[in-house]
Amino acid sequence: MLSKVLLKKDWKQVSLLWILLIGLGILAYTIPVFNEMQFYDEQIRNIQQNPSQYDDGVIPRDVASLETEDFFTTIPGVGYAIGELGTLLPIETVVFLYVVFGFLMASVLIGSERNSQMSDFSMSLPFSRNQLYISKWLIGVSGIILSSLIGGAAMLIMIHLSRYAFLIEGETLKVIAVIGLVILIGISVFTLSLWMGSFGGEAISQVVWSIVAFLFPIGILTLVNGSIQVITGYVSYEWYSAAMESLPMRILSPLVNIANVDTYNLFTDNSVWRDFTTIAPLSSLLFIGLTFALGLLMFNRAPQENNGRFFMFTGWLWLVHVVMIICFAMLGGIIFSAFSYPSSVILYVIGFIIGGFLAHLLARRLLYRFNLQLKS
Amino acid sequence: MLTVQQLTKKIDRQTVLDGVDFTVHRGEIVALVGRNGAGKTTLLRTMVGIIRPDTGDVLYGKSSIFHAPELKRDVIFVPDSADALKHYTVNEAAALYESIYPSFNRSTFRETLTRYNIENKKIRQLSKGQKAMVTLSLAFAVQAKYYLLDEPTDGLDVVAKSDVLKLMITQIEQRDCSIIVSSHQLHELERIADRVVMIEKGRVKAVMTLEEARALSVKWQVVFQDEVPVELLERKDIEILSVTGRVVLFMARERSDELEAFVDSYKPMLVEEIPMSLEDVFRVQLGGEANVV
Repeated sequence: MLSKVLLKKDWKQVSLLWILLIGLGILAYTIPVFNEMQFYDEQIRNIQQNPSQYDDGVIPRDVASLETEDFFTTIPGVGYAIGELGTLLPIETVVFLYVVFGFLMASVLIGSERNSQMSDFSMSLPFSRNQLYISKWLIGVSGIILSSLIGGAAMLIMIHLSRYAFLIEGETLKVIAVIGLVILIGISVFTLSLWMGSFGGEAISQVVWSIVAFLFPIGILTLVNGSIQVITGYVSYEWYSAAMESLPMRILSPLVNIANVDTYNLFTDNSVWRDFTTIAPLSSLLFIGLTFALGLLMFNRAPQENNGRFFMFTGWLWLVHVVMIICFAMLGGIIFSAFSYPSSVILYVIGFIIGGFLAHLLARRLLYRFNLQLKS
Repeated sequence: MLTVQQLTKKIDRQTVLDGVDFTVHRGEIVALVGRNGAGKTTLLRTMVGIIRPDTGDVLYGKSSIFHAPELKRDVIFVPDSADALKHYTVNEAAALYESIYPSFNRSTFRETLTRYNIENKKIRQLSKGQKAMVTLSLAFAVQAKYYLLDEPTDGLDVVAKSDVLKLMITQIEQRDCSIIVSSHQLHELERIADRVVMIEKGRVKAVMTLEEARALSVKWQVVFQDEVPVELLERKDIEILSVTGRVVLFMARERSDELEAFVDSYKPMLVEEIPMSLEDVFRVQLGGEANVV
């Protein structure tokens, strides 16, 4: 199924980004850890110099003679103020890197090909579209995995050799598991963006559709929640939080999945750890499986003659048009309703109509006129 | 045998290919002619599986190239520009082809490069003529059985055009391969093509040999005794090429007894049949203001 030739061809296209990802991956795993340790040092110095400003009664008088480790173990309240293993791990930085590079690599592998005649060349080769797609996916995934393996190893060594090594003692496997989840989130984002390469007919459109697809689950939930609050007057943060923490949302959104990882309690609370080792990776694996299968299907069906267009499946433009109008109408309604307190349903309706109308104009320009302009 | 079977394709609700049906035999050069927008490039792209048809199939032997992409080892498409490989050096492109096509003959490729003095540079740094030579040489070095060439001489100078044509003819002479070539350079196709497939608005208007194509229409120079009759000038089935005093040069889409009798009824002093070129055939069969795209 896999062809070395295709890997070689795809490597030529994406090698620069791939190497950059490895380099930046190492930096993303290590620099924030170094900075965080500097911050810990500073905090400890502050406590030692101004013990009275911190928790009264908890700080012992001989604070100057305490070892670094004591600040995290014998003075629980202060340890919280300084930080812990969870805050030392640069999860957000690495995930941000993977979001940016996931979009970029996918758009170079598919969107840029569609911009040039490379896509025609690839499709004319004696390989199936499945083989073409799998090769692109493997190239991107290999970059994400390798950057985490090298960067994560560098981070582990760095922590173990530092004066804060005590924080990771007995927790190394758990940290490796966190790195594993970060890899899965990176692969999720990349797979999603690669799938979007069958919707956008060139590189920029692919990035735009990737951003839309990435934020869509959170966005639609937030809009529906906001609209319900305005219309019914019933404000429930519990419903929203429950929805955000729900399994379907964790499966549908890699962002929600990683945001639900409670790094503070991960290393202390067994139930959080169990949740982390089951729901989080399973949700990611399901997401990867789903988006990969859909990506493969759409790549096979993508109308090659629409390369260069903003949206390739011209038969589905009406659906995108309708979704755009509904989302912007709700957004308009929520923004307008905020002009009065308590929220006004009438203002919501006015905002809904204006938002929907503006979205209709935008959709007409973007999906129909712009769609044709890009082609020519 | 490469068989194009009832290909139909709609793009933006417009029928670009409409039941296209023809066969290409081994060892022949087939010229694909038609006006701009007639569907020639779409047809070639569909024949190699880049575009999926709405209906119809392309068979190599008895197998569909859409279901067995490995058949494309023997069906090579050469687009009208070398943009796809612009970031590759000549040697890198050769290495890529060599790894894709086991039948790739590097020495044949090298020979062509040496003959046309093409250096190992990035393809984007080569001249237009050199790019065309490199892409064609790469394709021909594969030793495939069928080649689909889209406007291979488009934008080339006279020398480069001649080189490209020589290269194509050499391939046919040396190997039993077939070439399906789309071009607007009709005088060149005339020199090399065995058969012509005329495409008009996505349909195959005619598939014929050059002799048949020439025999289909007629080009006459007629000298009348007085002035050229207005009735002749107003006929819809002919295309007037020139009128100089009593002399008229025109082409008719079809040779017919009625036209001959019509001309004879004016008792012309001279009726001379001028040999039709492919360009004349194209003009009279596919031309006309209504067809301008």
